[in-house]
Amino acid sequence: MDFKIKKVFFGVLVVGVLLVLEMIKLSAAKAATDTITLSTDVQTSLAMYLSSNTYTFGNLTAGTPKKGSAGIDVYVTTNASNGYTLSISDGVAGSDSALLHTDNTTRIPDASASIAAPAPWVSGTTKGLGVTVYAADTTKEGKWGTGSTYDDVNNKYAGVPQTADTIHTSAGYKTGADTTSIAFIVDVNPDQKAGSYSGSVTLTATAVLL
Amino acid sequence: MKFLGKVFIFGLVIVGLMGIFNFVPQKVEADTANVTLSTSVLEYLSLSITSGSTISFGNLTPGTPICSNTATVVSVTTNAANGYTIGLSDGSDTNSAMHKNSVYIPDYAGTIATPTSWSGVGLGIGLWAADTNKETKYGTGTTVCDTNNKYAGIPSTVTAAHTVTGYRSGADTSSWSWKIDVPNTQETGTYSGTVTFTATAVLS
Repeated sequence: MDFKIKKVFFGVLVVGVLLVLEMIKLSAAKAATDTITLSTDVQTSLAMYLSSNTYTFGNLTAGTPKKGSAGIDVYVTTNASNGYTLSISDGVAGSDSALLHTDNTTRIPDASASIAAPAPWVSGTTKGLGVTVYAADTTKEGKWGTGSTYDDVNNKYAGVPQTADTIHTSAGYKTGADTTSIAFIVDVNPDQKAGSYSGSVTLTATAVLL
Repeated sequence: MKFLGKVFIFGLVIVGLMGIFNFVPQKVEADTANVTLSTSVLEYLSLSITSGSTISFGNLTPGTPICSNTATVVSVTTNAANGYTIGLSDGSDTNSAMHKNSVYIPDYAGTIATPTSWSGVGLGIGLWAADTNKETKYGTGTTVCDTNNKYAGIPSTVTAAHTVTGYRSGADTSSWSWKIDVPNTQETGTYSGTVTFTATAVLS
């Protein structure tokens, strides 16, 4: 009988110990930790806007070049790690510029210098429509001359090509807007048909991804 | 089961490769904007005498007309959409520009409105060639002293003697012939004078 009582007591003791251990285990589970891994890929973004979308030269007398009344600031904001390029085009084939007479046939020609090698504007000699980059927040290319204002005589000019060609490269990541300032100039030969001319050129900013 | 295992392992390999090469598909970002340019090209016109700005007839015997083998060539460059006119004048009504003190050689009788084949005396001018629209009233001559040229006296005030219509690129030229004779009563001596050519753009 004592043996049986001892056996029962032992059994109860074992069950009690197991219950205590289970309570400890349950308590330990309440303090367990784990981690959550977060991730995202920030996509490349780019936005551009201009200080003005019009450029008015006014009345033009052959042999006396006109530079308008102000340049255009091009603001580009991008998160691209390698910066961006700014290009220009007019969609007009050959040596003609975007400036088209109201007869819808006659055009003012492009300036003869290329974007690869802009040239000084020789007043009375150089003819056509030219573009220059006269200022840039980030590394203005030396080929555009030493001018610092829209009408600086030290600016160098190039014709606007039919298809997009890079006029400025802004390398590296930039916080905030990066500004490039451009200007135009025009002169014509004496036999350029009199009248009103107008047309559009396109500026394109492209993020550099690699 | 084996198939699902292979798919799982393949997925792990792809994910691993993307991690190794840091490959994250990105789209090219670009933006465009247009600038509208405009200008008004104003009228331009220039005139020059490219040859024959001095005409020397030499010795003149009354009754024997002299045609100058030197023509006056007038070059006009203009961007006028409607062309231009050339006017002639000499500042003298019935007399020509050629004078010796107060004595004048008369104008040729033909007029700019109606030039005539040479017949008579005076100083006359005729248009014998033009890049654009030689007027038929000046005759059918094609050389400077062609006998088919017709001549007119030069009026006192500017009178349109040649009209070019429409826009012309580059220089436009006209070639003029001079002819002279005098009556046998014309006082002997050396005569000279100036005739003015005036180009005017046609604006409308």
